[in-house]
Amino acid sequence: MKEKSWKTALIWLGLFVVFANGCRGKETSSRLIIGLMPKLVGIDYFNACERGAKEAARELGVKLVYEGPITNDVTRQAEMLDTWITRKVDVIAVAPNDPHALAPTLKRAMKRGIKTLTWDADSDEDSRNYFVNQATYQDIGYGLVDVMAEQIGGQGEVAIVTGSLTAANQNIWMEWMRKRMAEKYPGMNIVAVRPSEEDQKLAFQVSQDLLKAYPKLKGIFGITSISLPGAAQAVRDSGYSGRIAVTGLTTPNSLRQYVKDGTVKTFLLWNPVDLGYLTVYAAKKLHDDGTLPEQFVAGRLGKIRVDSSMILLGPPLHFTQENIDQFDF
Amino acid sequence: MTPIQRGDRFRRELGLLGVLGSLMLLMGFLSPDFSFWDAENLLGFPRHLAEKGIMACGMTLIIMTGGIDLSIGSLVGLAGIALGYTWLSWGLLPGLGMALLVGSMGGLINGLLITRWALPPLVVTLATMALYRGVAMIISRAQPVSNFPEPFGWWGQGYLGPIPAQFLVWALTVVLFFLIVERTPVGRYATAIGDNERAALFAALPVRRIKLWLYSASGLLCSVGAILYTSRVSTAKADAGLGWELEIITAVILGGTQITGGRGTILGTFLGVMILGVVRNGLTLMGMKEEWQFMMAGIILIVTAVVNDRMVERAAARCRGQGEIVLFCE
Repeated sequence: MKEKSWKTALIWLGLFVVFANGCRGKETSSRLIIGLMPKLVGIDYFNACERGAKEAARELGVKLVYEGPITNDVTRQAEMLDTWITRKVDVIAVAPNDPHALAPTLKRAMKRGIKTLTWDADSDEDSRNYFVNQATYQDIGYGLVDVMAEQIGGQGEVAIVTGSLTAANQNIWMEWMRKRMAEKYPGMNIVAVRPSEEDQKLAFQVSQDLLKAYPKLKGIFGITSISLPGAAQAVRDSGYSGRIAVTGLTTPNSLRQYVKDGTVKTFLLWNPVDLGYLTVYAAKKLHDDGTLPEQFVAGRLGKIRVDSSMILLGPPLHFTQENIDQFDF
Repeated sequence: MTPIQRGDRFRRELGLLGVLGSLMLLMGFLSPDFSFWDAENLLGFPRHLAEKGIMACGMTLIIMTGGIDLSIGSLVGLAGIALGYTWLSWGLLPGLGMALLVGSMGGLINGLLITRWALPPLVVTLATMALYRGVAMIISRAQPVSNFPEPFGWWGQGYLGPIPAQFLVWALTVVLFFLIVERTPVGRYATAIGDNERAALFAALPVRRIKLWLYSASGLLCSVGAILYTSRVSTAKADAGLGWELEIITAVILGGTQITGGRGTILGTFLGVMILGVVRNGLTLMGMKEEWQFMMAGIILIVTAVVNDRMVERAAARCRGQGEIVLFCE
């Protein structure tokens, strides 16, 4: 009895394996495989990047592998990159959730002859060939402060809701924001910086806490695509729309309702579709030539500048009530 | 306790081994170009499991006593930060010592709160989970420490022969804890406490002391996990280990340890960690989207739990010499 059930199970398993193996698509491609890893999947921002990347992959005739963790977990990213090395992708382009933690993995990939790019956020310089920078940190930091200053008259208490307190790009933006305030708006000061851990509910909650804790608060920055909608929702739901300025970085789709109802007047973002598009073009170019020239043509984006090991997308867009409906991402 | 006789003692583990073997077979066939079986992959994926596997040993014993330790993920962050910042000021060896000290102290504090004030472990460790993570964030001001010296990287990135360094540490820990559970009174005491704490007290078992030791040991294992993790990613950061406690508890339960206490197995826990790891690695190699992977992991956990449970029922039925076996087959 017992033996029989074991044997039956084995036969079934065998059949299943043969069947499943037959179903499996053969990886026939001698085509170039580009692995593109976002910080996390399932959010508007990176979905838009993926769209651009797919567009570029179609134009270039390369195979695009787009996979990432579902939370902003760098440990999981390292694990997934390891499987990409095993799967022998030709180029790895990753948006690291930590400025250093992927370096050992990326170096291992480079040793295997895999070209590595970082995009959206950077890793240690010696762990990647190039960094696709969506906008210089200075452009973003200055731009955000200028928008806020215009709305609150250049002075008063402001707070920042950031993604994660260890995210490199967000910390550098904040440095430039502080620099801009010190230089141009000495009356403005940052009273609090709170992380949302890329969780919109948490962003909402910390923003509400900020509103309660700092009664003199005049503005909130939400500097990630999750933080800003959370902050906007908190300001609107607490009845501060129009009285407390909200700005930051996010996708138009996630903020459309708040722009329409006047809670948010202006916010910034580079075009993430273009960022994904450019990253795939850069990956292909890097693979073909082994290195990048000071300028190269990236499909519909035209000429793109390369500054030492940084590939620059260009200045950020300003989204307002007037132009927001032209964008869908 | 389910009355399982000596011959049936490792039945559950054998079942899990079967599940693990079949899964490895399956993943091998399903992964592109059989890449799951690449030596590099087979030796590589346990790297990502070792830290959790090590900490799961401590968790197994704690769950055996009917307790739980939710603070382990945070303790990894805190011990890692202790390592990083002590290394910056005093060097690597003091850093390692400090990490081990901080971890065991963290565990000891859990143990003291649980035994001295008779607070429920769930409440205590839920609190210290927030507390330790907070302290780690405050000390580090959320700044990670990186660029550790090359030799330190060996523990998380190096090999001894073909075997990843941290896998060896993991294997040693499993053997050590297996011996503790099987060959010393600690295992039986923990089981007895989990089965009926009051009875254990009346039987004059050193309940408090055992608990104190177990929570401290769990903390110490967090330090080991933190050291290996820091070495692997060459970064000490305050948010290391975020969410690990749930993954570890999942693996421990999958391995056959009873969440209400009274029964536990170190080998089962090892196999539980491996099974979850194989599923994750295999599905990632296939290029399955993360969202789907989570769903699959859930299904596999349920299936394994059901299969596992039936096997125990069957063994128990056979022991009692009753005809229930017919009910549970097919």
